[in-house]
Amino acid sequence: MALTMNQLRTLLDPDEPNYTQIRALLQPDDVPNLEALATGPDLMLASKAAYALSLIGTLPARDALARLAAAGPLQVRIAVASGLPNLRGLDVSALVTHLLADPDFNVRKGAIKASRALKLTALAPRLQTIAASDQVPALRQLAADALDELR
Amino acid sequence: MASVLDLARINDSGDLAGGVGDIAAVAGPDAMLVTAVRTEARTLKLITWRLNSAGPVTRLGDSGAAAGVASDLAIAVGALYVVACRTSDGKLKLISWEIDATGSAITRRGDSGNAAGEATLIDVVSLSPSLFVTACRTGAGDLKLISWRLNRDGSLARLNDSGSAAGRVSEIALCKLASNRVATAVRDGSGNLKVITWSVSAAGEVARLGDTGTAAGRATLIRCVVDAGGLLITSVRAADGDLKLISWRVSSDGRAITRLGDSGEQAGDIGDNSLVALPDGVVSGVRAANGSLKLIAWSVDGSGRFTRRGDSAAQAGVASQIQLVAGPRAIGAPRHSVALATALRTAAGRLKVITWGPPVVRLHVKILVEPTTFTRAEMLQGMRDVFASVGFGVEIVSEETLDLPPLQTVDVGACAGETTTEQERLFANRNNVGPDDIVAYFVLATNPPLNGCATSPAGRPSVIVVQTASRWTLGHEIGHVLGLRHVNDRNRLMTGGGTGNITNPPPDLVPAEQSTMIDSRLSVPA
Repeated sequence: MALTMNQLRTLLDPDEPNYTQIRALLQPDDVPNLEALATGPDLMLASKAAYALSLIGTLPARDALARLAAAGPLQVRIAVASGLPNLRGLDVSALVTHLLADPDFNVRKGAIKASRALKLTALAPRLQTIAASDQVPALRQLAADALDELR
Repeated sequence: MASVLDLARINDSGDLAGGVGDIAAVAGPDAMLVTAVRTEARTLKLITWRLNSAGPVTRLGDSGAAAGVASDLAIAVGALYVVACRTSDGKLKLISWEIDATGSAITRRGDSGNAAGEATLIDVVSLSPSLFVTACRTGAGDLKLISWRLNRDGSLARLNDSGSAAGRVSEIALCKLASNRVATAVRDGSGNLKVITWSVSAAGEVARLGDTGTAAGRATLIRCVVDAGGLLITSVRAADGDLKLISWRVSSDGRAITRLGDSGEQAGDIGDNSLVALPDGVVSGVRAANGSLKLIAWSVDGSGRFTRRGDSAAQAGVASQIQLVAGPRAIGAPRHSVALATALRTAAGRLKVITWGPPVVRLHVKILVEPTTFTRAEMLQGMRDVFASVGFGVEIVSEETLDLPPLQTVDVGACAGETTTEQERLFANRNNVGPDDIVAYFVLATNPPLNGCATSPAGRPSVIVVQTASRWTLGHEIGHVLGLRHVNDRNRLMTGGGTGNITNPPPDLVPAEQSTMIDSRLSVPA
């Protein structure tokens, strides 16, 4: 049975949520409520809900994350990028590719690190482009380091 | 704003002094403390100390073997420092000392010769640079006040005395009411506290003005001070063994002494007792039931009502011969300074000087991304409000903007003891911050998303606060750094349910949390 909105809030409202505990409590049918929280006005709660979606690790959760990546505010997109490594085993190339092109470098940073963590060798050309021309020098280096590891 | 009555231990003199019997102490200029002690050889020695605002109390100098056997020590400062003591033949003697500005040169200038007879329970005050008054119990057991003139050559000339104007006493405390008036708080022949006021003319004429009659009960360990509001405050061990403070108003002519109020049941059983007036209250220094030193801070309002502000908890060990001396700190002083010093005899019988001041968190702010849900100013004010409720100040020592784009989002892992590579890189940006100072880094977000995180490596106490954190997250994370844990109460700062859900702002800190914060080496006296 899905957790209620209040139950989810209780889990996510702490200043330092215990995501290990949260992962153990979440079920696939919690996706709709988490997505609702992730699109709400409270950006702190929204970012935590987005990250919690990644902990579910199902295709519906991935698809919800993709919608958030496409339309969410910056804090939520950063949380989506942060949660990408939790989606191991799913096809996330399109989602990661989208985030690698995000206008905000903090999101791109998370996506680069996810590419490396998930060993997404198919994204090497995109990482090569970032390593060569991203406007943020630190990201160029981060992408180059990721490429080195993927090769 | 932290009161000077919120006391945290700053430092002490370590093992810089030897064994002592009696101790008397008085404040000198420029944060100097002068102690007069009875050494293990039973001789009088003066030792000077610097009450440093940070670091240990340093010993400046001593008087060497310039004085003989003495006991019943008291000290006051006028044009020179004057020690009143009981000599080896049991007589009262006053000795004057010159101490240079550095405190390292202590020179005996003169004394009172054989101008006084047998005396015990000696106390002394200065009414002007050259006029001193002693109070003592004579060989017959009676209270006697004697006035003295300090001559230019350092000798002390007896001017006059109180004659037979007072009766039997078994304890004496003497305090200055005005430049021409003193009060004695004594244990009378019946064992009761009695306050007697005296006028002392410029020529040294001593006249009894009035007394409290039977307005106070049985008492021992009697002390007295005049507070910043001009009330006379006596401090005693009452018949039940508990500390009791009583406030008195002395009329303008000194003849009427009205009891205003007392501290009631706000303090427990005590051994030793000492009392000092600070700019916004008084502090008792007592030996608690377990033998250790405890300082208790009191506010005294204009009507003489006492409110216990707090105490020093378990910040000091076993002590006796406790002496309190006000430090140089002013109310609201923005930087570290000493509010109070205690000179005491440790369990090993050695003299130790301990400095005390209001606790403060020294915070450096480093901004990578400004917070938006609440402004940085709102977060800092929120923290100040909550910390002030338990007497803690928050000192913003520095603010710096860090241009570190790669660290605007920071991996924090589980935020539970281990720091990540990115946290290490962020916390490396301390830029000359002291090891006991806390740095708050304002960032865009953490990975995973948290309001903040207080995990930091040893020697680099730090917190991270994200852009969308609550008003109280900063204080909450600093609370963690000071040793506080989560609680299941949404009225409290350390709620584990999210500071965004605090139901009754500002959130609370409870006394046990205050003690933990004071015990933290990261809360330093201001």
